[in-house]
Amino acid sequence: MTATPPESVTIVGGGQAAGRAFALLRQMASDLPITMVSAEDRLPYERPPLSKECLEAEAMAPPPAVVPPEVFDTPGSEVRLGTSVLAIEHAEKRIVLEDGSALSYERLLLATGARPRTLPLADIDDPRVITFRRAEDAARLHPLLGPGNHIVIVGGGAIGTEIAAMAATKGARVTVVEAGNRLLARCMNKRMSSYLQSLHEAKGVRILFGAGVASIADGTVGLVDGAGLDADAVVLAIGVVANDEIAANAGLAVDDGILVDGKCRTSDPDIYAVGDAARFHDPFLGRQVRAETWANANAQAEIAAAAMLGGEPASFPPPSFWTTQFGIHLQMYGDVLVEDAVLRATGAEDSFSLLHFDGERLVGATCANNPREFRALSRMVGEGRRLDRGVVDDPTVALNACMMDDAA
Amino acid sequence: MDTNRTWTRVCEIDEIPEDMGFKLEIGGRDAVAAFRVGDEFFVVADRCTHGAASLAEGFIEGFEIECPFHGGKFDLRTGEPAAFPCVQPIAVFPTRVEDGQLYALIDTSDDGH
Repeated sequence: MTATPPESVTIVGGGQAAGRAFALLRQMASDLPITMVSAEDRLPYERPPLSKECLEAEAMAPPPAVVPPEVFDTPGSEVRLGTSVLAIEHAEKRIVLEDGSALSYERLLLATGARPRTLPLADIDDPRVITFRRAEDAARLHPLLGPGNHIVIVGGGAIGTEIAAMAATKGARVTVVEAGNRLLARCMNKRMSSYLQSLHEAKGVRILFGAGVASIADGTVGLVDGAGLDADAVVLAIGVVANDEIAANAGLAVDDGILVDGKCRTSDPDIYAVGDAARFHDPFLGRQVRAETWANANAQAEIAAAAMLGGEPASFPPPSFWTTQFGIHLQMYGDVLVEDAVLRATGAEDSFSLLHFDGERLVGATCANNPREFRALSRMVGEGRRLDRGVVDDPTVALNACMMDDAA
Repeated sequence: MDTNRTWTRVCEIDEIPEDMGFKLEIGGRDAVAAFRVGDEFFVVADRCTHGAASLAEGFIEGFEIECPFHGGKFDLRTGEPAAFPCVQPIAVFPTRVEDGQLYALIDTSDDGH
């Protein structure tokens, strides 16, 4: 069932998904009036570089734009920056802005993203305490990453470990405080967590597991076990919370994220949601997820844009993710939490593929410094290929030769 | 701006793999990537402007190079981005072939960028 093309589209949000959706809508409908209302002070930019490339050089590099700024200058395009949306009055089909004015919409896209978790016991007014999410946060942290400084990072997830790696590379003393028992527990399996942990420890990063933060005051992180860490900077990288309140308040179905169907539609047929703010059924993983990835923001922006214009969108792709730490570029595709995995070396140090299996079926691929093989493996994961586990660990055997014929 | 562009030998044209690039380090962190499309040769900055990927490890499609990290593309002839998510162009360098060797006019000054 396709909807009739709309007379206009309104986007709430200004991050990756919002930017990508705007550009795609403009590409598919050159005359369509598109309005983007963003609380950010600048046009959509990419977040992944904030904890990686942006921190690398002597001067902080601004994050790249999601799409060329000219996209927002096209006829019919309107962008309002620094403007929060307070409410959706979906019966009247309008959004209420923070200045009290209201904007009518015909079809609405919610790309409100997520906000970083904070610790109530932390003195977040202390300039040394940085809750890491936005370009401004990276800019505050950047000058502190150097020799002579002790950087304490609360959270051993993807962002925390990336920042730890960059800080250590720039000569700072680094301590990661992780409440759980392994790094990046939500992103990778135990074997890969161990691999990354070894990398960090070899570079002098101290990691405290099972460690809870009791207080952060005067630049000292007090742990639950009584220990105190004196820090020149404390980075909070403890996850995010979906910005779904605006949807919940409007009566849309919400459950740790705005619930959407396979076309990114919410419980209101004229309202769509994408990206970090959306919860959906992932057909590959077979469960409900709220994805916090760049890839998901882009994929859902593409699906929602097509659906909003009345077309038939593609289906959700399998999940994918990457992280870069200490010069190791790790790419992940499919279900990489699966522990049943076969290592395929390349011969080069720190370059390998880890193939995750469900029986004989390849369900995930984790590749380190192996981008060409990653592409081939990703295709195989997407196609549900069965591989001969007995030979796939041999790098002299081409991947294609490892594929087993599917039964007719 | 002071630039020191010199004709630099990149590689033997036979060293360029059939379906990817040949990477040449140019001091420090800079590197260039050489590609062959038919009888034409292209030398571009190796590092993708979107992420820290080596374009020499990318995938050639016609006159476009696909970055192996996120699938973005650049036109090898102009350096202009050809597909999302690439937004900023990559540097391209004039080339010439002499006696089976590929040369490129590259800025070899050490200005730290």
